[in-house]
Amino acid sequence: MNDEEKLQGFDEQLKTLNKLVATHNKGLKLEFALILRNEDHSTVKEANDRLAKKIDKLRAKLHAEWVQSAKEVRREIIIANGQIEKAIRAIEKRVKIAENIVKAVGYIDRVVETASRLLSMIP
Amino acid sequence: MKWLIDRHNGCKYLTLTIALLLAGYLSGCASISVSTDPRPFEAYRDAFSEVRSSSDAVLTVDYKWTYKNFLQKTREGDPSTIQNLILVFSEEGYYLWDLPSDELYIKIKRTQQAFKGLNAVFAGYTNLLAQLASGSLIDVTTFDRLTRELNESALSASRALKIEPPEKPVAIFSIAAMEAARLYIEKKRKDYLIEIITDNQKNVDLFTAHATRLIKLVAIDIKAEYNNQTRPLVLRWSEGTGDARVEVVEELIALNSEVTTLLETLRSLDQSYTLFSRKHRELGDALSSGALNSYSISELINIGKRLSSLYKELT
Repeated sequence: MNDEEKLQGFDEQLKTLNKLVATHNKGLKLEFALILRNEDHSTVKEANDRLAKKIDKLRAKLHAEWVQSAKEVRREIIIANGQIEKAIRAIEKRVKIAENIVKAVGYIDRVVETASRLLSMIP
Repeated sequence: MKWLIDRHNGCKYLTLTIALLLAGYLSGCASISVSTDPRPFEAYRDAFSEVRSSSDAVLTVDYKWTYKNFLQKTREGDPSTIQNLILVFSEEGYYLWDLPSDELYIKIKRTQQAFKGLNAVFAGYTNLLAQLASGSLIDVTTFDRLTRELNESALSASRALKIEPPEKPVAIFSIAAMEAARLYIEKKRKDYLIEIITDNQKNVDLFTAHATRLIKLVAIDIKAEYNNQTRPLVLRWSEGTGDARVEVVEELIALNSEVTTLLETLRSLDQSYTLFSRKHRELGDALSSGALNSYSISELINIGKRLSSLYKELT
């Protein structure tokens, strides 16, 4: 199963789980109506408990699947962050180059200044 | 003496030639307007910070409620709650242990940690984008200082050469050279930003798709745990009278309020993560077309405000 199919499978399971939770909610409403009328609710309660167990199992399965796939996504973003850090370093390096060029010009200027002083001393 | 004057002029020309080379080396596309407004990137980063806090808060509630239900099942006598907590030791290793089956609350704790980690690396991404777009990376004051230094050294040489008054043309030339350098680096920065955003759109889409899937799963968790919490309340109501019933009803009202706030927060988070993907693409497009300065950041700011107030309700 490829990544795309896995994701579609996850989405389908999510939809099913959402429906099961809504059904459980309806089942509980029925159970509560029987409790509040002092009628026997044991059969409905058993059915609700079975459904709740299935829901919890599916929730656990989806959480485990999600954690697994999140690791892959996390790895991709960490790689992306490395790219940006590299770009930032490259920019900083270029600023440094500009600074160094200015220093070099300054140095040459000082040489020029010294040379001109020396030259002026020549009679 | 004539050769001396020629040498003086030669030195002057040497300085100017170097400065010209500096301009040529660094300028590239200096004539293009390339300044990058960092504010949209900062808004992107700040809005995500709010999303991150709210995401963690809803996962904390999810964990707490699931654990509460585990304790309720224990109270009701579900044998799996004790059986699954007995550690199993391996015959192979000396230090290995396992649990027969992870309870749901443990799985949710793991999800919370994984989501925290995932959000942290994405927050790092938004922060690095803002850093790359930031003005401090190509500090105008640094370039002003460089220009000043360049002018000062050029002037000192001119004075030494007794060339009067070259101050104005040299100064203008130096400013142009440093501005060219600044623009060149600025353009590089913009190019990097465009490249990074384009290259990573797929990853951002993947990240937000994963996040929205989890947000939906958490919404289901919350509804499932709400269902689990209602039965004990109904039983207490039916067994009690008078004030005991009032107490139950008040608890149910509080629970309903909490659930509706949680679902509202989750809906906002779902929309926000989706928006982050779209805004990421739009930032890249605006940067490429040169329309970044007019790029609307209000949607991102509103998300931040909304999630911030929902987060306060939750915590």
